[in-house]
Amino acid sequence: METLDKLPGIIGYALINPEDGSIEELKGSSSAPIGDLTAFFSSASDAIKSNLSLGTIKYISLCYGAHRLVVFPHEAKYLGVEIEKDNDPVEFIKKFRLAITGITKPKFVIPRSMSSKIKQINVVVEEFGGQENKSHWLQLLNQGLGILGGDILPYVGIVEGELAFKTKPPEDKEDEFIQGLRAIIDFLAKKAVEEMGSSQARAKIHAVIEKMR
Amino acid sequence: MEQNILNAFEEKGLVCSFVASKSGKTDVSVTGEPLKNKISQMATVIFETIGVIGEIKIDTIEMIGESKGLLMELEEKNFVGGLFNQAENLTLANLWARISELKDQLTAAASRKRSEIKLEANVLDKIRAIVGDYLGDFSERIYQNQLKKQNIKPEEFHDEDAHILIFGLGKAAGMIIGPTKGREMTNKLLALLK
Repeated sequence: METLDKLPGIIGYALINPEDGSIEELKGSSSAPIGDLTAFFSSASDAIKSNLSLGTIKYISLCYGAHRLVVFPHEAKYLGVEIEKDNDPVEFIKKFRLAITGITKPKFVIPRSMSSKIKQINVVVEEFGGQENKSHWLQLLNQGLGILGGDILPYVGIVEGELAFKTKPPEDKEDEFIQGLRAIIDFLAKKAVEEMGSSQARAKIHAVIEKMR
Repeated sequence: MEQNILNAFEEKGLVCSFVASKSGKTDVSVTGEPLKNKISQMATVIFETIGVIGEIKIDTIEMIGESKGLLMELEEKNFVGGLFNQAENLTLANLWARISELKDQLTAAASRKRSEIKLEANVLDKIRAIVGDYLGDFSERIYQNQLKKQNIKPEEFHDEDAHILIFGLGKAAGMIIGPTKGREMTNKLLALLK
């Protein structure tokens, strides 16, 4: 599912085994229960399609608040992907199918102010988690993105273990996005204090500042 | 009354429309009448599925198969929808527009608008103040994110919205200040609605 990590516009996704409804993979910064939604609605669609003769399910789309979950069959499993509500599910699935045939890294330039914040977050995760605890800090980073990221969510994601821009963010949102990224750094620092105590957290933050120089 | 409205929408291109309530009552337009039991069973499956997941308010469901598709607009206790055959020239946006129109007419007919329990004008300010006490510097960002996420418009703030907002804020707060404090904040916010 690495393709999904790199595809812009994706807030989170879940991969479901249709045999037993188990969640095989759950990634991203969605704050909705997308694993359960994908599992339960794909199972419900199996019952409904036979009852109402819908034929093979092409997709299910659920809208809630400002988001949309598109659930569709993929390699004998069900994939549920959260995107923004305004996106068309059919277009999204087309884009996904095209992407899995061979994704090319998009070329774009991110303003320095934003790229340095992204770098800072990656250094924070690296410093706080080290190699052995990195996945826990990436999980916390996703939590922080979900509750504090706001409009930045469709543009960023964890790609190959690092926070990265998946597409060029709109220029008029630069200030807002920087504020969001700052809030996420504060959130991670707060978590560090809770988990390591204030003196160790301070030392780690100091190490981050040194690395950023 | 509902039956007549549903039938009238057949002429507008919504061939098999229906309204199903959580209590099990289902009305179907005349063409869909032979499928009434199956639509009712489908409604039960949808309500049960939503009930199991619980913590999210789903606004619309689109279930698209190779032969037929289902579109549904949900409220707390019922949903309005349409079952259609797949066709080359079919535009989902048009069907969604009809379903929205149908829902509005059914709502008006039943004089049953979305929860209209009037909230004090300053209830949002009070929510904001409590969130500020618990979340400090994070509060404004989390508050604004939740309003956006839950599609809540402060100028049309109903009792139902307040509950959704409070539980969303409570969940987000739990991630920052821990579940115990998060629950405490949620309870304080809920007390505002009593």
